[in-house]
Amino acid sequence: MYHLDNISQQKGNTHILHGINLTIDENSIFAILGPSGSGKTTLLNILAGIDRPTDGKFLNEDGQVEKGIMVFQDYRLFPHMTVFKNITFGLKVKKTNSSELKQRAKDIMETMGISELIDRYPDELSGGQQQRVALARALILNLKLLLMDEPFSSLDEALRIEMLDFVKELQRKFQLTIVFVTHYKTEAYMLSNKVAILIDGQIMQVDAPKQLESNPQNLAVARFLGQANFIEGSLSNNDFVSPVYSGKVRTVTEKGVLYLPFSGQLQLNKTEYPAFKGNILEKKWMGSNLERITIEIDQKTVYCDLASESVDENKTYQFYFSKLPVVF
Amino acid sequence: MASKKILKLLVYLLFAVLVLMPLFVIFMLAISKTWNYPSLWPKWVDWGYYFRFLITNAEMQASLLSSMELAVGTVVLTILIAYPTAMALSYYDFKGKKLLNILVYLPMIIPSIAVLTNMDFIMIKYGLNGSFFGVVSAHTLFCLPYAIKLLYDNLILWKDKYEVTSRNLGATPLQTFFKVTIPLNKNGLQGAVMMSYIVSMTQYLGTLLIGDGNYITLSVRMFPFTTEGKYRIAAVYGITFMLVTLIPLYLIDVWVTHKGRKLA
Amino acid sequence: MLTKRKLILLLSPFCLFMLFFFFSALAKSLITSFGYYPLMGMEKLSLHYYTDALNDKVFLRIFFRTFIFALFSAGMACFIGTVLAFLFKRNDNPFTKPFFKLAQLPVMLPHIFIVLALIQLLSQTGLVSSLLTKIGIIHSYNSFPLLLNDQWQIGIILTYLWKEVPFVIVSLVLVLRQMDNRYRIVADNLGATKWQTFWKVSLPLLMPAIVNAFIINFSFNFGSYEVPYLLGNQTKEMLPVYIYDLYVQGDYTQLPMIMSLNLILSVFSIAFAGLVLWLSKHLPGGHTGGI
Repeated sequence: MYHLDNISQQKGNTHILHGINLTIDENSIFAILGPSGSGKTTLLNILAGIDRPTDGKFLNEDGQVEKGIMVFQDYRLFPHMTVFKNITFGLKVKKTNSSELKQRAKDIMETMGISELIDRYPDELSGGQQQRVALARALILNLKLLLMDEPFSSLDEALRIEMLDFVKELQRKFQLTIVFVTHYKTEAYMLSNKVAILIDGQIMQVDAPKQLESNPQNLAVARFLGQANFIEGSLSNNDFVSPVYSGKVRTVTEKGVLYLPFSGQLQLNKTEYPAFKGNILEKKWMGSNLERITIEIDQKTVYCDLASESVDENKTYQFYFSKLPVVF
Repeated sequence: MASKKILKLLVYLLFAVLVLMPLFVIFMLAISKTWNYPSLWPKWVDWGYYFRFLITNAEMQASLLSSMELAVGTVVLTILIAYPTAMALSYYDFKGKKLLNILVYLPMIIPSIAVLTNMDFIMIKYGLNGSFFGVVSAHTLFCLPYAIKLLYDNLILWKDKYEVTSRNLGATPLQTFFKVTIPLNKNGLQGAVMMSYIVSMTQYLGTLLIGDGNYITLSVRMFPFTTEGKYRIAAVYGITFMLVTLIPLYLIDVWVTHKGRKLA
Repeated sequence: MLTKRKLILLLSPFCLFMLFFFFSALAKSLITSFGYYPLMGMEKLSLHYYTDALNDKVFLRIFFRTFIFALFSAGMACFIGTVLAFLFKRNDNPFTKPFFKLAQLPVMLPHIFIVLALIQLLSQTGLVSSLLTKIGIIHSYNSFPLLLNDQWQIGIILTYLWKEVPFVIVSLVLVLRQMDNRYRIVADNLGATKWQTFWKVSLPLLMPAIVNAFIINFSFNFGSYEVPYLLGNQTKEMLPVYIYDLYVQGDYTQLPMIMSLNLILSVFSIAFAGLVLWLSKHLPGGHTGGI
């Protein structure tokens, strides 16, 4: 277990991180998800020992300071070294003897599937190859904690899925603890067991991906995750009043914004929480037997994902909530 | 930590003294009447001497004019040649690009004594020796490597992508050049102009040899005075040189920096 | 947009200029150096000017002396300039900016400027000599060592250092700033010490820029006339002075010989620059650049 103990970072007068407390399980993949400018990279730099926090500590299980090895977003392979020299850099500076160094380089290059690139220079590699070399350069050090900064953002769609699976495989094989930051929630969901949401230098929520999506803890998280309707209204007692829906809700904060995610919240099957009657304006095919429908209620529009062919355009349906809706 | 800082400070100080000492000595030489061994300080100083000399001496004014004429001519010719070359090198891939890259640096690699005597030889044949164009061409030859390199380094940052955008939005090639290419690359252009100006102003052998004595610039005129031991007059020319180099370069720098945001 | 016609248009000013002033000059001196100089009634082609030059002990001695001198002074300038550039690349104190401006000053001034100051400072009757006499270290200017027009070319070396160290600093600091801390951070994260980072990462990445600066300085020191003329020693003549003196003597029958010397000089300089570049490709950092 790694502990981030009340870590704060301040540069000049700007507070970048505000008292971050986190625990990260060993042998797992942990994602830090947040919009750009939220302090994600700053936090990762602290875990890598690149930056020193103005306050707080990052400790491992034994209460020791341990720095993680970083795979940078732009990979930063040394442009003047071959793949081999890049990969063995960390061993070389520790004066590892050359036969061991060669053996370990050979092993890691085989694992990463880059043996044939050994004498190439970084500018002769594709993006995916560069990432594999950057990973090899870190993994050769028999490390426990691997840090990745926006690891897949510069890869194309197909390669991204491939590398995602590959990183998962590496995690199992080397029993790594991987901490990575990203601003793509699908990337975070697909790769990690646990996601921390970082907004404005504060950890807003730490949860498994599924919980996060169904139970955002506050409006900031909900808005960042997106894919939801936010309906302005007012609260009186425990009832919510708005043109779209008025009635019972679960109140989390008192701002008076009804949170209706596109998927999972609205349905046609009857439940004990009737939502509203609405006219179907438009259907859009979303792939995988899913349609995003536009519902008009009293001149307001609400979006919702349903199985395809479950409604027809220009007809009115009664919708139900699958569970009591949340108001922030 | 503290001792390291003090050491660093000492190196700064030493460097500053070594750079500024010659400047100070020349400044004092220019305003002192007698300053001979073994006195550490000029016997007496005449502040007005320098300005009287500047205003009344016809030779000085002729030199100043020659220097400026040649410098401006060289800057114009250099930019006219270097800009298209740098554009070609940064935008295009073509056969012989590597060779051209080496060619650009040849005038810098071949010893100037060889380049200049060869050039003088052919200038005589063209009948260009002693002419304005001849001398400006000799200066330009030495400016081109610097100018092309500085412009190239800047142009390669964006290549032609914003020019394509501009043309796509309906701008003419000329509009694109003045509204997009030049503003985006003004740092490179500024560097090239300044370097050409400096190279032209400091040129000695080229001016003397190709100029056939028709263009006695400030740096050329300093020579006979120095070899004849007339250090005071040489220093007066030196100070004038500094003024007409530093002031224009400073003004260009200020003008470019304040004219909109600096890029890259 | 990038048409072949436009490319030709863009390249033509440079090519025409070089053809007209550089290559025709080169070609003309090449022909002349083979002994073809109809103006003087010399029309027989031969290589004897080259063989003569290469057998001329005086020329070879001067050539070798100038080469060693240029190598040494350019190397010194690069070494000192590199050390200073590393020392002052960081924007971590208020002196960096004025320091950088100060370093640009010598680049802008002509060689004659510093020569004049050196004469006033370091000649036997100069200011340093005066100072030493005043405080009693030497008795008269005669005991002050000969630093200008001396056998060891100290005056010339000092002049070149004053001009070239700042040139190296300015060109390297620009590269160092572009490089910022990106690769230093990576090396640090992978466990390298500061010293290892310097030798294995920063210096190799800077190497192409250092090599370029070295070649420029070397070629200048090898072939420029004015400073050796002013501060050189008569008994230890330098090559540019030797050639210039021959050229301005105005003896036209000598021209083929002078042109052969020029061409030997040119070919040698190009070959030397090529050799340095080739060597630098095999040094750490060689992959990333060169001219």
